[in-house]
This record gives sequence, C-alpha cells and structure tokens, in this order.
Amino acid sequence: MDIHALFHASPFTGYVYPNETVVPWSILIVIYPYMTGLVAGAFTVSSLYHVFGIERFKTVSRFALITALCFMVFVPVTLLSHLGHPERAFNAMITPHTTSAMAVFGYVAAFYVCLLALEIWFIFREDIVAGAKAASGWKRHIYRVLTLGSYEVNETTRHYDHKWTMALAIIGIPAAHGLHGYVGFLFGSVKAREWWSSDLMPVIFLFSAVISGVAVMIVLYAIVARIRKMKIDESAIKGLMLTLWAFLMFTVLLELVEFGAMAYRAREGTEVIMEYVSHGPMFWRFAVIQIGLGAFVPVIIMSLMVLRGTSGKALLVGTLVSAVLVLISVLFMRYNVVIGGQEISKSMKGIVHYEPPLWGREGLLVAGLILMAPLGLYYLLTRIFDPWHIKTHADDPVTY
Amino acid sequence: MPKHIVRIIILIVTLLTVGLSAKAYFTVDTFYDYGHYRGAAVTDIATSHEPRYRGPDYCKMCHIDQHAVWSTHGHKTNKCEACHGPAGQHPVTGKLPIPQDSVKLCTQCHQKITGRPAKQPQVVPAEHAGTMACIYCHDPHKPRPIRIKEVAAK
Amino acid sequence: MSEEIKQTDQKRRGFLGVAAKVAACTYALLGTGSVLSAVAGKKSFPTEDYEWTEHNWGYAIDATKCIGCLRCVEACKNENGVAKNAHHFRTWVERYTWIEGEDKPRVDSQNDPGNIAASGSEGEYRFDDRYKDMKVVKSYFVPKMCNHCKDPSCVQVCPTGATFKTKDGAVLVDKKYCIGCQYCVQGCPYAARYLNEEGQHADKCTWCYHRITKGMNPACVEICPTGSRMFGDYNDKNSVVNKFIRENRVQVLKPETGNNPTTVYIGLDKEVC
Ligand code: HEC
Ligand code: HEC
Ligand code: HEC
Ligand code: HEC
Repeated sequence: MDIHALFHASPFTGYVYPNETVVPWSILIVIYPYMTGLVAGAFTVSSLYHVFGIERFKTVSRFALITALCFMVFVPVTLLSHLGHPERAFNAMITPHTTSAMAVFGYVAAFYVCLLALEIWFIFREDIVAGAKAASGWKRHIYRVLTLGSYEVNETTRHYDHKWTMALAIIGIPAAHGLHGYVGFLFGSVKAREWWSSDLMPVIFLFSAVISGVAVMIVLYAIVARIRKMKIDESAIKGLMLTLWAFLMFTVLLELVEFGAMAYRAREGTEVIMEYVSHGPMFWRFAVIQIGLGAFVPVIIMSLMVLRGTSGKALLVGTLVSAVLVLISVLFMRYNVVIGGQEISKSMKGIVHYEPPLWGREGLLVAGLILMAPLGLYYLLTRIFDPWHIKTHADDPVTY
Repeated sequence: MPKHIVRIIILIVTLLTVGLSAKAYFTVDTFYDYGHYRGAAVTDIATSHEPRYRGPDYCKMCHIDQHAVWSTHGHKTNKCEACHGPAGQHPVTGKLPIPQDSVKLCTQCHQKITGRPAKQPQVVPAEHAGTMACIYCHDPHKPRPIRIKEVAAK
Repeated sequence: MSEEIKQTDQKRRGFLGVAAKVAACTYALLGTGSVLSAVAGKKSFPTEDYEWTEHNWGYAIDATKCIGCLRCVEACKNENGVAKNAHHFRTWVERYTWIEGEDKPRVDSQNDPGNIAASGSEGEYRFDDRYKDMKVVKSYFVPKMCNHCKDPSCVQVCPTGATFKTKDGAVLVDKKYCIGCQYCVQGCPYAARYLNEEGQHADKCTWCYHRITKGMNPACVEICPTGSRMFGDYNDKNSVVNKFIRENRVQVLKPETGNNPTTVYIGLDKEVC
C-alpha cells in the first residue's frame, strides 16, 4: 500500500522538526472539546433552574438536560474515531496511568454520563411510570424497563426523587465544569507547546464552554419551537441572552489577557507566534473571526439590546444572531487552540500549514457528521422523554 | 425507602462491581511487574528482530583481504556497511551490492558543502574529477595513495 | 484488546512461576548464569543473557565532528524498518547556517524540499549546497534524536502505560498496547516521536534496544564515520560517554522543560533548538 495515501502531510515554512510535518491531532480533536463544551454549557442552563432556582429557565431546564446527554454520548466517539487502535481504548481504563491527564478522561466521562442519565431518570420518573401504564407498542416496553418494576408514585417517592435530583444536580455542577476545565488542562499541561501551555487554559475552556452551551440552547430552542409550533418563552430567551452576554464578556477578557500575557512576556520564539497571528491564516481565524466577528459583534449587539430593553421579535432575532456568532467563535477558538498549537513548531522557528481534508477518517465530513449526530439522538430520546412537559415535583428547584 | 430507590442503588452497585471485576480480569499478564507497563513488552522489543547492521568485524570473517586493506587506511572509521548497505543475513540471503555510482557514493561525505567541518577532506567533484568516477583514482578501501584503476579496461 | 497479549490466568501463572524458578535454579547450578542471577536465584531480564539492572545507558553527541553525511538516518531507517518518507524519523540531522547580515541562523534538515531534490528521492538523504553563493559566517550540523530523558514528558502523558522508561534508561513503546492517541507525540518537546502509520501506534528511537541488549551499539552509532555519535554505559567508569563527559563541558537540549535529557552534546550555540 502506498504509505502516502494514509496521512496528510502538511507543507511548512521556516524550520519545523521533520516529524512535525504530519499534524497528529486533526479536526476530530477540534470537535471533542467543542462538544464537551456544549455539554457543560447546556448543563449550566439546567442547573440555573434546578440548583439556583432561577424561574425563567424552567421551560428549558429539561430540554437542556436532554441536550447535554445527547452531546455527551457522542463526545467519546470523536476520540474513538481518532485513535489508531480504537479497539484498545479500554486499556486507558483498565490500566489508567495516573500521571496522564488523558487517562482519567474515561472515568470522568463515564461518571458524568451516568450522572446525567440518572438525573434525567429521576426527573422523568413520574412520566415514565405514566407511560408504562398508558403508552402502547414499543414505547410501553421501554417505559416498563425504565420503571425498574416499580410503579409507585406518591408523596414519599416524590420527596425521594426530588432529593436525589437535587443531589445529582449539585454534584453535576462541579462534574460538568470539572470535565471541561480538565479538557483545558489536557492542552494546558503540554509543556512542549508554547501556544498551549498556559495556566489560563482550563479557565478559558470553561468559560467558552459555558457560552457555547448557552448559545446552542438558544439556537436549538428556536429551531425546536419552530418545528413544534410552540410559543417561545420570551423570559427564558431573555435569561439565556443575559447569561450569554455576561459570560461572553468574561471569555473575551480572558482570551485577550492570555494572548496579551504571552505577547508581553515575549519568551524566546514568541516572534514566530506574533508573525503567525498577524500575517498567517491565523489572522483571519483568530483576530477576525474568533475575536472580532464572534465575540465583539455579539457583545455589542447584546449590550445594545440590554440598554434599549429590546423585547419581542427583535430580541429573539438579536439573541439568535449573537448565539450563532458565538457558536462560530467558539468553534474557531477550539480550532485555533488545537490546530493552531500544532501549527506552531516546537522548534519555535517555523509554521506548519494544516488544511483539514474533506474526506477520510479525519476529514471535515466525518467531523460534521459526529457534530450533527446528537441531534438525531435528541430526536429519538424525545420520543420517550418529553422535555416540554413539565409538571412533576422532581423538577422543582432547591428551596433554601 | 421506596422500591425504585433500592433498585437503582442495586443497579449502580452491580454495574460498579462488574466494572471493577472487568478491570481486574482484563489487566494483561506481566503488567505492573516492573512498573506501569507490560513487562513482557521489554522482552518483545529486545528480541523484536535480528540486528541488520553487523559491523566490520563480521565482514572480517570472510572478506579478510578487503578488511585488511580497509582497516589500515584512511577509511578505517568509515564502516563497510555505510557503502555496501546493511548486511542482514548476508551471505545467506545473497550478495551485498557493490556501489555502482561512485560519484554519488563518495560525494555523500566528500562533496564540499556548507556546514561540513574543515577537518573532513572535501572536494568540488566537477573540478576535482571532471566526469571521471572517483574509484578510477581512489580505491574505496584504500583512498590514499591514489591508483589508476587497472580494471578500468575490463 | 489485542489477542496477542495473554490474559491473566492465575493458575497457569502460578505453575509457570514455579517452573521458571526450577529452571532458573538448574541454570544457576550449571554455572552458566551470571553470578548475580545465580545469587538472586532468578533469570535475567529482559533476555536470557542481558540483565537490565546492570546497565545505565547514555548517548553523547559531538556536533563539531558531524559531517552531515546522513548515514545515521539511513542506517536507522534500515535497521528499524522506519517508513522511508520525509515525515517519519527516529533520528535526523539539522544544519544551522549563519549568513552575513542576518541575526538568526537558517535551519534545514534532510526533509527539506531542497535536500530531497539533491538526494533524488524521499528514501535517500543528502544535504544540498544551497548556501554556496552566500556569505556564510558559520555553519554546522547537529544530529538529533530521542533524548531518552530521565523524566520523560511522553511517559508522563501516556494514558495507558504503553510507553515507559526501562531500568537501563531507554524510553520504549509497547506497540501491542498503544492505543494510538498520540498524546505522547504532542508531549515530546523534541518532536522525536511520530505515529507509525502502518501499525497505527506511536513510535520512536529505541536506542536499537534489540542491539544494545546483545552488546552492540545502536545502528546510528555503529555507522557514524567520524565518531560524532557515541553510546555507552554510565555505570562503567571507562565508557565512552563517561569519558566524554569528563573531558568536555557538555550541555543538553531544552533543559528548561525539566525533562532531564540523558543525551549530552558539545558544540552547540543557544540558537540550536
Ligand atoms: C560468512 C562469510 C561472509 C561474511 C561474514 C560476509 N560476507 Fe560478503 N560475501 C560472502 C560470500 C560467500 C560472497 C559471495 C561471493 C561471490 O558470490 O562471488 C560475498 C559477497 C560480498 C560482496 C559482493 C562481492 C562481489 O564480488 O560481488 C560484497 C560487497 C560483500 N560480500 C560485502 C560484505 C560485507 C560489507 C560484509 C560485512 C558486513 C560481508 N560481506 C560479510 C561471504 C561473507
Ligand atoms: C567508502 C565506501 C566503502 C567502504 C567503507 C567499503 N567498501 Fe567495499 N567496495 C566499495 C566500492 C565502491 C567497491 C567497488 C570497487 C570497485 O569496483 O573497484 C567495493 C568493493 C567491495 C568488494 C568486492 C570486491 C572488491 O574488492 O572489489 C568487497 C568484497 C567489499 N567491497 C567488501 C568490503 C568490506 C568487507 C568492507 C569493510 C571492511 C568494505 N568493503 C568497505 C566501497 C566501500
Ligand atoms: C560515509 C562517509 C564516507 C564515504 C561514503 C566516503 N568517505 Fe572518504 N572519508 C570519510 C571520512 C570520515 C574520512 C576521513 C577519515 C579521517 O579523517 O580519519 C575519509 C577520508 C577520505 C580520504 C582521505 C584519506 C586519507 O588517508 O587522508 C580520501 C581520499 C577519501 N576519503 C576518498 C573517498 C572516496 C574516493 C570515496 C568513494 C569511494 C569515499 N571517500 C567515500 C568518509 C567517507
Ligand atoms: C584523476 C584522478 C582522480 C579522480 C577521478 C578523483 N580523485 Fe580525488 N584525488 C586525486 C588526487 C591526485 C588527490 C590528491 C592525493 C593526495 O594528496 O595524496 C586526490 C585527493 C582526494 C581527496 C583528499 C583531499 C584532501 O584534502 O585530503 C578526496 C576527499 C578526494 N580526492 C575525493 C575524490 C572524490 C569524491 C572523487 C570522485 C568525485 C575523486 N576524488 C576523484 C585524484 C583523483
């Protein structure tokens, strides 16, 4: 077999180490933190209601949980399809190497999926029991299995369900954010790469996770409401917009501080990075799209909306536009971190020029498919769990 | 405690136990024997294949003449296999190649290029030899003193 | 899970353990084993006639002697079956050239398009004479390879334990256990690792572990015509590396990473990265 058909060798300028001409982590690893970010953000939205008791998020709280689970299920898929030996993936869980930031991922992710599934189970338990009694056909079987053979619904079970939901939601906050901050650490701890090795990395990842998650909730809510012909809850949209606005400002600040600090410290080789950011493709990806279009424009739009007290259709459109821009910005941020870090040679004397291929296992097409797959799962899951039907007690927020 | 709570706890505990036993069961032989790795891997790597470069002492066993000349002249630090390629299982697997294009061979180390330390003897091939093969005047096993290759007429 | 790796089987293991001990005792009694293993009453590891705890290997490079013939690169690829293309190297050679009027050196290696053109193919290696019409202030070659660090960051980041540091100092990859995540490729500050495209596992210099355990030098050291590359045992006072360190003021590459490389150099400028 022609060995060249197997990988994508990139051209370079300046001096890069010979082995660096093949970029090890491709577009799939861009999608990986993007998706974990969406999970963490969506979970935040549901916690804002379940834990912090902000009423305006009640409408979307269940919806956010289901969305988080859908994305979370596909997070490992990105990694698995990237591995050279996916069939050995469990080696990392069978003999986890404790000094490795990646080894724990299997455990953290598994824990988090279980936690999400459990929380959803408790929240939807009354619906499940009702379904097991009333539904027909295949649904009935699924509901019956999900009841675990107990149809009991009364004050005591409600009390227990509520307590468990609370506990899970509270554990969920550090878990979801830990999961994502930890993805940031995965990059931030690689001392070999100047572009990655930064203490701010986990924090930046976390904040951008929250904004992308909130943004995806806005977009999906608008789409689902359109399809289901539901009336959009304006107070929920306003709440989401405010959350996005606040967190976005933080994120931009952090990103600029990180970049500014690197430029100011100006350690050996930083001039290569500066050249790269000011002239190379990075100028468009970083300065124009990630920061300019994707962060400053939405901040301005949302600030104006807040100042003018915009409401109604204008609010929805403005929020939607901002959310889409933020989603693009965060995707580019992931790209700029993951691919950007590998484009800057460890020799600090050259740049590799990576162009993601369209076809192949590590191509744009596969990445796009994985990114869209959660929507399919969402469709299936909502056949069983109706996120818009909120009446049970398990949903109630904590009372302090 | 309601039934479903008991059951879900049992379910979680069962899954945990299954997971932990699976972890223990699937841990491969010799892992942890010497550290956090498969001990047998070290033996695997140490015995992965036979060395392909055998060194001049190996050649000496059979090519006594060439070795005797080579080891007493200017190329004695330049190993046989740098010019003839890895011996592997030679002679069982066949003859080793005799480099045909001696200009290509010798200029690898003797062409005058930027970076080469001054101590290394260097020539500008076009000026030094014109279009003539290097081995016409230099015996590769005994680069100095020069000769005029008698077999050139062959 | 790879089928080639046997599962734990307590019974068989126990039996084998006894058998191994019996065999080892017989072996020792016959007097063929080394004194050390006879005393310990067990077989040497990793192979029958090589005990890794007796060695502590090290590598030394005298950059002033390197003539950039690239026979080491070729020997390494032949010896270890490394893909013969311009993107996978266990060892490589860099050329640093200062041109008059420029404050930074220009660097090229055998994978540079100009050098590939000079050699004729990606499977052959040769430096071209690209600077011949320029005013060169100074220029020299620097052989590069895995530094077999004392605290290797590649081992630190490996999630499974598929890469590890042996007791005699080498950093190796277990290709049957590696999941191919390439975190180690990212983690190595020297870019000495690559993905083996054929086996889809991480790969790197092994110091020719199959050679050194047989008392031979790594192929690159064996083939080097100028003695620029040296290999020896730090446990042996008279070994070439110990002598090299005694007689020269040596340095290592990228000490700031805290990796503690064991490969020592002389003849480098600070620009050498
Ligand atoms: C066990 C003995 C043996 C050893 C050791 C050995 N060779 Fe040979 N070699 C032979 C024989 C036999 C031939 C075949 C001669 C013939 O067919 O004319 C041969 C042929 C050759 C030839 C081709 C000569 C020709 O006239 O075509 C070369 C070159 C060569 N050997 C190089 C080497 C080198 C270099 C080494 C050391 C790495 C080496 N050999 C080690 C036995 C040996
Ligand atoms: C500098 C490169 C070089 C080195 C080092 C070298 N050879 Fe050769 N060898 C050649 C070339 C070139 C020829 C062909 C000579 C000719 O055609 O006149 C050759 C020819 C031979 C032959 C064919 C018979 C002959 O003498 O023409 C044998 C056998 C041989 N070499 C063995 C060896 C052995 C053994 C060593 C190491 C001790 C060795 N060579 C080292 C380049 C080299
Ligand atoms: C792998 C590298 C290499 C190749 C190939 C090589 N040489 Fe050399 N040669 C050397 C080295 C290194 C020296 C210097 C040895 C020293 O300084 O002690 C040398 C020395 C010489 C000398 C000077 C010898 C002396 O006694 O001063 C001549 C002449 C020479 N080589 C010619 C040749 C010719 C002709 C060829 C091609 C057949 C050739 N070399 C191929 C590495 C090589
Ligand atoms: C016409 C005969 C002839 C040919 C062909 C020839 N050389 Fe020479 N070479 C000489 C002579 C004469 C010397 C000087 C010998 C001496 O000083 O002892 C020499 C010396 C050398 C030296 C040593 C230079 C030094 O500074 O010590 C090298 C290296 C060398 N030749 C390489 C080559 C190479 C490479 C080729 C092929 C491209 C080649 N020669 C072809 C005749 C030749």
